[in-house]
Amino acid sequence: MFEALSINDIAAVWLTFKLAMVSTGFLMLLGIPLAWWLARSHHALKPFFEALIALPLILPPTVIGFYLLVAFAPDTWAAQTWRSLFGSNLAFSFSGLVVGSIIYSLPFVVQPLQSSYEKIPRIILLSAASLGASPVDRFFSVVWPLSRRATLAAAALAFCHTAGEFGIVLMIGGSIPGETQVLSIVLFDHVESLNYSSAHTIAALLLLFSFLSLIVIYSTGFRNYRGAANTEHN
Amino acid sequence: MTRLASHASSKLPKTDQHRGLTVDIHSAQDQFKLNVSAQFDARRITAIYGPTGSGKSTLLNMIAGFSKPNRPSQITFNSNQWLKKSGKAVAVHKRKIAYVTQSSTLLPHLTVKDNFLYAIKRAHTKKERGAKNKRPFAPQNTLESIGEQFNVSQLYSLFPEELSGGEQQRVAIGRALLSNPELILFDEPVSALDEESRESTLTALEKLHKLAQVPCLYVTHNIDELMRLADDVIPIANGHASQCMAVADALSNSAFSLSANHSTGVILEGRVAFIDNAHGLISAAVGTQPNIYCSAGSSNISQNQPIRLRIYAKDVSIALSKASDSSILNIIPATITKIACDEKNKTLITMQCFEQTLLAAITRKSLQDLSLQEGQHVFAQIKGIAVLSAKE
Repeated sequence: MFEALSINDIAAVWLTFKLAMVSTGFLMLLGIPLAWWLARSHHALKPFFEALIALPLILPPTVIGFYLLVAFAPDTWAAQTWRSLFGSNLAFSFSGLVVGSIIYSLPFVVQPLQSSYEKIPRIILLSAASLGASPVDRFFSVVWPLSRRATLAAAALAFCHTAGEFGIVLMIGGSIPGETQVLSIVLFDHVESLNYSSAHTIAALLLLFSFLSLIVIYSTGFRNYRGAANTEHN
Repeated sequence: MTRLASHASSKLPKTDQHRGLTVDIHSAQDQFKLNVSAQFDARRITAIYGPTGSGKSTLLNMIAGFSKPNRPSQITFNSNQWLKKSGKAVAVHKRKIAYVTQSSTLLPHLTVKDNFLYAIKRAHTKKERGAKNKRPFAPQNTLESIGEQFNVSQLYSLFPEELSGGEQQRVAIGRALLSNPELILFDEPVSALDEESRESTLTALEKLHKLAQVPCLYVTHNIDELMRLADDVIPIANGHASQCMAVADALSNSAFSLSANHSTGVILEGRVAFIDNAHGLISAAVGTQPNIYCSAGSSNISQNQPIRLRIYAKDVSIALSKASDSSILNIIPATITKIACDEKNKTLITMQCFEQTLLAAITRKSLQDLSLQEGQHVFAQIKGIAVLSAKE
């Protein structure tokens, strides 16, 4: 029933891993300050940003993919800016996939972090300030250790969610081996060409990976991404 | 302890330009208006005293920099402008303050010891760390001595949530001292505690009063805490406060005391004149009065030591002649200076005796039966006196 992975399949495993790693890195860099701002802010536009970030949770990935594809078209402002900066195209490229993955997985990073940050009592941060801790010092000496579990969970969710995405990749990446052909695409290709034994191998691989990842996430004591616990010593 | 305190005072900075806190705060939110213009002495414990909802915590938060008044305001501390009329403010972490409130402010992910080390590590600002002449670090405020003084050294390896309420507060007070603050802010630090923890925390606060050469602002609605701890008081009501006065003066003011709850009274500063071990009494010299008897209690008291006495108004009665057959030890000639009544038929008599002020709470019936009048000579019978603390 299972067939050993072909060279092409192995390239897809590596590409998927690379995409998930790079995207998770950018997601954390972007998500942590964004979640911190959302947790502390009373800005009038806060609900607008929260809704915007949450959109990928309910929107069909193909919708996001379609709009990204339109935005990535070579004559758009976004694509031209990108080309002038990096000298490459966004559509049907690895960079394009990273951009898409960041948008697609952002709520999975921001929401657990935001709810973890919101649970830190204001008085704790104020008293740390009164002891002489600057805002940056406060973040690393109080916020970071108190939200360690949520940070881990956010990173793991971002990684898994990116590794498993399909709709957006199909729309903006196509299926270029070594560039945009990730595992979920390879699986689709195998099924389309009725190569079920290879499809089985890859499906089982993705299933196993996702299941193990969730076990890891839950074993950190993390419950659900809206109720991210920072119960360090409870 | 005495040795340490005197050692510390020799280390105090000699410069004495403008030391103290001056606030001119105006803020309005919904129906509530806060208008406070006051000066606080730099070396004392000043209570901000008022009922719930009077704006005292709001005022403290603004002094700390936790919130900002929404009208042009000024806060100046030791010649540093913390808040300018323009709205420009010094950040909380640069104000060199410490803050203790009723809920735990300890860092939950750190042990007691690490909480202490957190404060020590940040006791000097970056600029000060580089400077040759560091702000003097009161020498008694080391990890070991604070742990011992506040009886928390056995808790070092525990996390805050493993501590009782009283222990948390003692750790918080110790940590406040270790951060080498120039001003300590207390927001009802004992009001959430049970009776026992309350007592141990108040004892710790009295210790802090003696140990630290640091001015404190102490927000409270409890007149007992006021009498026990404070040197000065700023009464605040409906967001309005303007006068800072000595606690003894405030308490002997019947208008202030009538506005307080039933446990109003006066505090007297005096010295131990002699100790009567046979009867478990001490005799205190207060003002021109050589001997006021009070129960020695369990505290260690030595000859000539300064003490603070609390006399509740309800424990003072008035007689027209000196009773020789009374069980009351302290019967002192006095002159009535003021008679004040409130709407609940409570009558507060202000008297002068031995150059001090005494308050007596009596019923309106007694006032009429004895036909007491201002200027009248009477005898004050003092039934109960509490020795509060030995002041330096």
